[in-house]
Amino acid sequence: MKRIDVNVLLGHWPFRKLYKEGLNNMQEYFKEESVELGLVSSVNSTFYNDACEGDEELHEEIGKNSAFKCVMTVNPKVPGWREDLEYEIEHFHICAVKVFPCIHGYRLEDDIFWELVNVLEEKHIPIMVALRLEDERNTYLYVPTPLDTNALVVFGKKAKTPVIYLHALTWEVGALSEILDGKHDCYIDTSGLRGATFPIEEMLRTANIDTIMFGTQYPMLSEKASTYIVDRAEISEEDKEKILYKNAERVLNL
Amino acid sequence: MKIIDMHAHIWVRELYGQMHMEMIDACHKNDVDRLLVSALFGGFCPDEKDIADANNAVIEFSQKFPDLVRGMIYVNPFYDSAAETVREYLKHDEMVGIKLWIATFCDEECVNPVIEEAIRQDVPVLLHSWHKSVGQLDRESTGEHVANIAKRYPEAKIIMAHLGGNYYHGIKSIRNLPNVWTDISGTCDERDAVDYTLKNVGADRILYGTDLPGSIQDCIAQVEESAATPEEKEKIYYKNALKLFRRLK
Repeated sequence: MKRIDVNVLLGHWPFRKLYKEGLNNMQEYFKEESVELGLVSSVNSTFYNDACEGDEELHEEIGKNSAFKCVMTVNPKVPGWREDLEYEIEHFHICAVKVFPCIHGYRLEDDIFWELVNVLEEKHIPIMVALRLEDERNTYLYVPTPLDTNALVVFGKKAKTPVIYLHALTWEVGALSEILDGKHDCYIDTSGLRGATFPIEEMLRTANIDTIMFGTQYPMLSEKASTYIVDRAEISEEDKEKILYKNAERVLNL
Repeated sequence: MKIIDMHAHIWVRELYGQMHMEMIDACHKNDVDRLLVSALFGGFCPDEKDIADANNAVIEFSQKFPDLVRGMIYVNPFYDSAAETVREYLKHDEMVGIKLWIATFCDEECVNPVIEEAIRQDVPVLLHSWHKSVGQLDRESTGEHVANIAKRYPEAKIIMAHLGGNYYHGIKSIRNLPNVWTDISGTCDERDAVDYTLKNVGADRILYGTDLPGSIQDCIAQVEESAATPEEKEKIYYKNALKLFRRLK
């Protein structure tokens, strides 16, 4: 079955070796798991002072490869993102903006973040909020700030552009059920749905099928774990299609 | 492919409730042949009654699902009765090993009699181990504690659970200790954990475990996407466990 992976990364993660780093490995993964399209952002952009330079590298690397769509990385605490956003819309044809408040050190209620959100709302650009990039317990050299689930709910209710939470853990999804009801414009990807015996079935007890998107955070997280939990879930083929690509196509206008 | 899941738990005394039945269901759906279960009743530092309840529950659960479930004897080394508990419960064929959690660090002196009994009875000891940069629990062992007890008793068969949590911390602590095996349970969010362990420890000392009621699928995914050869995958899935757990045969 066709797949769109809404959460893949290219670039260098500075804190450990990624055994499957790079475009060639990503393309092998796409081929093996029938991924037709990956929404890719740059790991480098997360750490560069000028995130746009990381996005330029990313755009150069993927070129005109139709298997990828660029996701822009923005740190709203660094000036100049407005002009960069215009530039990346025009030149990189970005399909979403990704933010890392857990790494860049701000909260979802901060004015500086809402300045960005307001612009994205005007331009109808979806926002991807990475809740984490790896298990907070395993980090040594930087200290990510976990996002409060209440703040995620409040933001999800208030934002007027699609909000996609990335790498939400299974227990957090339960706390987000209020905004994952199919009535709010809020979504999660599958990359953090780990550790439950039947995670998709469990999630669907409280969340709407239209709110889940297939996303792996490859190559940092296990791509087959996301694949298996969907493929082996006891849900209809129609529901699997929604998770694997239809929800992403609809929400992100792909 | 045959699978032995050597790391699973019963957490609540309602043995046949939804949580445990989903475990059994997941084993059947994912072709798990043997499930080694310990019951962790009584919080972080269980008393002797909690321990007895836990081990009796595991025996009952094993007898309810004899084709699938075997037991790991849970002990609290803080009590002088711990070694005797091991002796008593090993009279039951269902019990195949010993499990320690976080009542004590695994290298404290009070653990010695348990390890010595394990050596006498030739059963492996599964030691919870997790190094955390945030949220380390009181008396939660890390790979370094596991290494200490393994060096003290080189003839003991020791299993460091969860690859030590943060595998960069755990694996290097035990990689040169041939009497330490490690299981992949609980490490499911990082893609490279199995490859890193293969590189540093080799396939002969890696065991398939899930920490159920967690996810069987996540752990299968990690093995399947690793660089392990088909022969190495067989070792991880069940052959190493069959060699290590003598009472499983």
